[in-house]
Amino acid sequence: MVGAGSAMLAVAFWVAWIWWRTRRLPNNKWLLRALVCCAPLGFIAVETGWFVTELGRQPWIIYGFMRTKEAVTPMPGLVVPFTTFAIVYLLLAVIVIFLLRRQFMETQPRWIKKQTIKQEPVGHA
Amino acid sequence: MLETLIAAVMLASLILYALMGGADYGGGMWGLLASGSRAQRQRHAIVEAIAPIWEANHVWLILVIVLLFSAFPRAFSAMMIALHIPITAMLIGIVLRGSAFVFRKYDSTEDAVQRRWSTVFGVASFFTPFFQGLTLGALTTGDIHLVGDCVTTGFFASWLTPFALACGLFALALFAFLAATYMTVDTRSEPDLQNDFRLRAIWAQIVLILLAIIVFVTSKDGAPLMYSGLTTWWAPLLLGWTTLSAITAILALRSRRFYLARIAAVGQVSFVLVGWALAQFPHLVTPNFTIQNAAAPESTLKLLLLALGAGAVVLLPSLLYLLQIFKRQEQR
Repeated sequence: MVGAGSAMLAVAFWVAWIWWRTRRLPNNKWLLRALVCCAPLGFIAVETGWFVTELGRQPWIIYGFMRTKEAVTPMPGLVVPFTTFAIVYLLLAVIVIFLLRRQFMETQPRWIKKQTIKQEPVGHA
Repeated sequence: MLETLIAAVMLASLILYALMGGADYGGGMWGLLASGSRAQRQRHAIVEAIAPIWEANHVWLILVIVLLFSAFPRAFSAMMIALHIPITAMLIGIVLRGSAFVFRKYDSTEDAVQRRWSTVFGVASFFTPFFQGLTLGALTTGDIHLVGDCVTTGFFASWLTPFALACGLFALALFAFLAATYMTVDTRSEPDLQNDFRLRAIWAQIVLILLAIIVFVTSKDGAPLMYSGLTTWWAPLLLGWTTLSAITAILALRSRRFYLARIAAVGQVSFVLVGWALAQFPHLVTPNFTIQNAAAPESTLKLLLLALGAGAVVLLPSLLYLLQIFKRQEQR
């Protein structure tokens, strides 16, 4: 989380510095490459941040007061809701990726679209 | 005293949830049931009516749960353990519904994929309120007994009863009626659609009345304390008001006085919930947990009320402002 945040901050400073120097939108090849690499970092930072708070707290559910073991419901067969929720969220993740891809294919400039259609003739429903 | 006050806030919040969130569920149901030559336009009108503020309506359900959790922790724990299965089902319904709506709304192309989201949304709109009604019903059956943290009556006892199932169906019909009645006002610029929703509202009301009778009859065996609550001295008074609003709603719909019908429907739903709460009072989980014996320490309750007051100062004006903005846009 800290690494991802620092990396994004560093790239932001890089952009600011170039803008301050040239007063133009940056077109430096390496900077643009770095920006592409930054795209997933936000997601990674959020997810790993949750890992830190949730895993770092164990074995306490309320730090120093109640253990996770004491807080869990006495309901038997918890593997069923666990599996169900895991499947639901996996499904949602797949759908989000599919939809983002669709959104991207719809909105990209026309010349790229033509190219992709030529390369892989996937019909648009 | 403090705990009763908080319980009253919970009831008010539940009523607002039914009036605003409930209508969204009903909208989803009518979207799935849309039929005839105007089905597409019906669906479109429903989406337009729901879209602006629908996620905000879950605020009221969250408030009820948070208040239950912080003010009545023992009752909360008992409910979450004994009703694990229906509450999980409800949660899954809420997740699927929210995702399906957003996927549908912001998807870029209109095609078969988008129609599939509508189906998921519609099915979840039936599924979720059914389990909400069923859960509320299960609390009053008197079948939830705990020793320590163990449910001695099993994880199926309370909610697989005819009474609880009837409560689930009742919630469905209530929300369907509410949504159809609201829609008659929202579609005032399209008379043919308005008439579709008018007929749907009338039919939903008839089904609702039948289900109300079934709930009452099954409560005699299924929820004895609720039944005795519904037959005490104040009950005819409240029943009278409920019946009056129900009849007003149906007559107003028949004579196309749609604004009056909407007010009557709001009154009817509020009276139903107030009646249900009074019949159950002071129990949270019949018969072991009451508002008094499940309450958190007084210092907690005081802080909670302060937080509620502060929250209301921020929440209520912003909500009114939000509603006003969308109403103004509608008129334009």
